[in-house]
Amino acid sequence: MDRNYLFTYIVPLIGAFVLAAGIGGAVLGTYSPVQNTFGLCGSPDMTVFGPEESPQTTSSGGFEFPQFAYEELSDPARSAFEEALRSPTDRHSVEGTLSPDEREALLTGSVVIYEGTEYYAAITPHPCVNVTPLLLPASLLALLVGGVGMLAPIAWRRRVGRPLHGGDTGNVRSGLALFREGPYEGVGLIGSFGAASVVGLVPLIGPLLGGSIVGAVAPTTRRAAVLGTYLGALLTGILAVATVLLPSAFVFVPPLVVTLAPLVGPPNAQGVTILVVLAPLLLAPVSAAATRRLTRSL
Amino acid sequence: MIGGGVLAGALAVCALVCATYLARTIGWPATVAAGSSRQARSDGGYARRMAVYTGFDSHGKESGLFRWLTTVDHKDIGLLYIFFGAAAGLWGGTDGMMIRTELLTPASDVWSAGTYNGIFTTHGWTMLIFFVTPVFFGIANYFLPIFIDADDMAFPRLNAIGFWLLPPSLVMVRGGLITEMVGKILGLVIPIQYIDFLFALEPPELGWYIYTPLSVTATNPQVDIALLGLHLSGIATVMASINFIATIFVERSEETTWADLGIFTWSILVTAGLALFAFSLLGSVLVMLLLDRNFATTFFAIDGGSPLLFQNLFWFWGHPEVYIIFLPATGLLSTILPKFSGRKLFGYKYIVYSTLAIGVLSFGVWAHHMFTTGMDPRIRASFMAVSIAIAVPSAIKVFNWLTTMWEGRIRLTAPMLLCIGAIGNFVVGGITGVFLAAIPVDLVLSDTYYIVGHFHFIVAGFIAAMMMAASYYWYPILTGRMYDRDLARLQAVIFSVGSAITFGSLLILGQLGLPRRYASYPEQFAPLMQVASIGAYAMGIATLMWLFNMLQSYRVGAVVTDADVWDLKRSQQFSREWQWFEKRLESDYGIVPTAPPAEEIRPSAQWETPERTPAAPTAAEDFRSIARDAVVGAAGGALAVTLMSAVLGAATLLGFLQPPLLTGLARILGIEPGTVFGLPVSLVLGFAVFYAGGVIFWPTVFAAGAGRFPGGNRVLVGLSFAMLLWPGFALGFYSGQTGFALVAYLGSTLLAHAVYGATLSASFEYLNDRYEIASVL
Ligand code: HEM
Ligand SMILES: [Cu+2]
Repeated sequence: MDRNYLFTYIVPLIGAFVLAAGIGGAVLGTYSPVQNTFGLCGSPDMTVFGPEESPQTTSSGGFEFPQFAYEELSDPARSAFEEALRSPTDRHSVEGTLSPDEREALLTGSVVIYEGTEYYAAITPHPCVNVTPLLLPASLLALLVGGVGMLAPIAWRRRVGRPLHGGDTGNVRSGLALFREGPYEGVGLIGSFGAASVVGLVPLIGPLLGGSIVGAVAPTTRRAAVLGTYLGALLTGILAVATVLLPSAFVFVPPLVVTLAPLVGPPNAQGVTILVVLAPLLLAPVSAAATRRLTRSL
Repeated sequence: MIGGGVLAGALAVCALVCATYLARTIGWPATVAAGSSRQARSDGGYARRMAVYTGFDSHGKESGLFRWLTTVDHKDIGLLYIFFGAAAGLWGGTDGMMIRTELLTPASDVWSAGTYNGIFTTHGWTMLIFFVTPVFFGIANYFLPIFIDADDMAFPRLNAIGFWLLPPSLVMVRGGLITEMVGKILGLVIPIQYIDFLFALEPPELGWYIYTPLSVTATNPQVDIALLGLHLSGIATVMASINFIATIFVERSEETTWADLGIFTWSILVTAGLALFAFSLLGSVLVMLLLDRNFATTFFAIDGGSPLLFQNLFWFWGHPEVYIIFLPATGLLSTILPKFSGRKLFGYKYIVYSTLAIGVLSFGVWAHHMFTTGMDPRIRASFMAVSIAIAVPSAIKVFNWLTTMWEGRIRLTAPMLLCIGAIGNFVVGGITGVFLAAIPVDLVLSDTYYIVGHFHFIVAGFIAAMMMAASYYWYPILTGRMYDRDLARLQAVIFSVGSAITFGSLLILGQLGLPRRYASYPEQFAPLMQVASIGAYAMGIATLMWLFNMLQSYRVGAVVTDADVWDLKRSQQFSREWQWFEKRLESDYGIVPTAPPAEEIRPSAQWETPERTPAAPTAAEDFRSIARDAVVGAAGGALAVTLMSAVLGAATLLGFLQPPLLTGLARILGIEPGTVFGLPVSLVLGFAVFYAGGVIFWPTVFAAGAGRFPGGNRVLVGLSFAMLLWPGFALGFYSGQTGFALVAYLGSTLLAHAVYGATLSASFEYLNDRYEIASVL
């Protein structure tokens, strides 16, 4: 076979499928320990339907659902039941172990009598990923082999002295300059502004990150600062409205400050809230301008 | 905390620097030093400033962010649509990868079952509403005014509003995920109980068709926000549709008649018409659902209303929606395929008619999504009939595409490879649709993976592939540069093959009876499910390759120095957008157009090359040549039918064929039984008629139509002619064989026909050469 054809198409084609075959195993193999470590699995979710919806499920044809009084439930089941009732999504995870019988009954779905009313409760299991130990190394090998196969065209082109890009490369635009100058300027800004205004809502870290996202694609340092100011104003506005609607939104910050910097001592909650709300005004423009400056050469 | 932020920022910058450094060291850009702005032209001159061409000018426009926020230029809005749609597509694609990852294992262990339900719901919405339609509307926005020689869309401001309603509606539809993500990120540093409110919104777990009663009783407040978002996007789509219809009707230039409209323009017109009616309806359904959820109305309630009413209304939008996303893709295929086949689109008119037919029929088939709901069987049967009928116009398209390629000068560029793969995928997707339209089949397969396979062959293997094809085909116009062709070809193949693997496995799984929409499944399906996931990852890889190619080629791709990038002038297909591009290159960048001038293109409606008319022959010459043709035809026919009879005779002796069938004719004519030459009269008569047909009738048909039968050389032409006759013969002489006898019967008659066709054309060819007969062949 023509070697040019072989290395340009056939080898990377096979490589791509080998790579694809490795992805699944690699993901499961690495995710499995992470899942266990962070407790992302194991506890089933309990869903509870109130008196209005439950008859739809329980009265549908010929099946007798097990019945429990609320008091008969185990502790974990009880607290999950209450949390689920309170939750807008009718669902909460069950922390702790259920007895086999209870688990069995809840898996099929049960009627729970709580304060004299019938509720329908059911759990959905969420077992942990469990893969054979050999899967991960085998998949990583597949990733490696596939990756090498997919990169073969680059090596081949280099060997025969062809430009690495399939077209003849005559002229190069810098990466970020795409967005900074030339007619596409601004397209990137719209997207980055949107992303930044979501990311920026995270207290204190957010405005810094958001500012640098906007700054990276801003045309000049000065424009970066201006855009950062807009962003900061927007974020402060959103946070202010959020605090008015949900006064307790930022109560979590003071204890956090204490854990992170014990020497400072417990700060005043109101002061912290004001700080969090106003911080974007300063942080966003500064980080935007700084990012633009630091990435001048890109 | 601030330290963390600084660290994260520094990391981001560092990653950027490293990426650039890496790109430089592994050799991008390859040969020429950065920044050279002079580009050699074929005539030895230099093209000025082409290096800064980016696809459109900014003459007289605002610059920067302000420009993009305020633009009403159809090209700019088109690009915004395309960027938005592509971003949504990547997001929805991530959902798809997550779905396939969960399904790697039989248990619902990777994500929780609830998360899985949420992902497949938002995957559907994102792809159908925020990916496909925006990308097609973007392409149409950019190119449609150019195709019909209009200055802009009919209502530029409406156009801008139509686009700007989409980002907020996407955020509304998917808001639950955004808040949950922020919550999860925060959750790493903050005790969860403080940020509980961020988890109040969860992705709805309803499936994209939000069936009642579940969608009424689901308490998740995100459902309401998502419904409002869908409503908003519907309004945006209606606005855009009105705009397209108005543009095509009133903004065409004087010279652009209806017959000059390209297929893409036609399909956008039909699409917009469909969308106008379908999305208005969707709006009212969504409002009714919102009222049921929040204001205690009972439109869809079990008591006092009807959940089935919801299904009817939903699919009255839903099925046309299927064609709203499908038709523009066929328009793209019909536009791109001929360019790389070197032939005009075969049967332009029929493609237009079939598009219009699909447009009308698509409103009459919605109940095929509800065959299992127990409606009146008579109504059900009529929906089955219309659903099967709608396959006809789709099949017409396929035949026209195949005939366009037949005998063409095919160039396997990346867009062409994608077109070819897409036709293949569409055939599978379409045929499975026809199966599903048959009630007995649907009752078994409904709600299994077969459905998922059916429509994904089309939405992914066809629609998404055509978007990629269009992006390659028009890349030079959009960016002034060329993409990496090798990479693109590879990508095209991986994508098409990947979708066939993935969705082919789903079809099999469905036939084995695996129901759709469960996070867990029985152990024995695992191998096929894993194959499907591998195919899906391959498609993911191909998508990333596409993305990389688009971005990287924008930076380092070869600068276009001749508007005829695809060598279209040679086949007289240098169509309007390329002429526009050529003018632009000339006026703005001083690139002189190459010969021949662009005026020499043919309008879309005219699909055959005008033939040179030979000098009219005199009557005597005419007669002599006709006589000679006739003799040659009869001679060839006699030889051919003799050989064919030999094959058929042998088959009869072996018992594959029933001779009495030949004798039927005598009975019809009422001829008395008797014998001639010791054989029954009826048999002789039947054979004589058969033989005469083979000598006179079929050669004449062949000679008259030879130019139109497909095939490379004449023997192939003859073979394909015979293959057209064979089914008729096989049907006519069939005498109830089954099993091996049937196979033998079909095989021997097929062979006989092949012998006939090949002999006929070979003898024609020989005699023609020998006696220099200028026949039609
Ligand atoms: C050849 C013509 C076609 C016919 C006869 C046909 C027939 C059908 C039938 C009967 C169903 C319902 C199956 C069930 O749920 O039991 C269905 C589902 C579907 N079809 Fe088609 N189809 C055709 C073409 C298309 C095209 C071109 C698309 C393009 C995108 C498409 C997309 C879909 C989708 C998305 C669904 C599933 C909806 C869902 O349940 O989630 N179909 N088709
Ligand atoms: Cu349908």
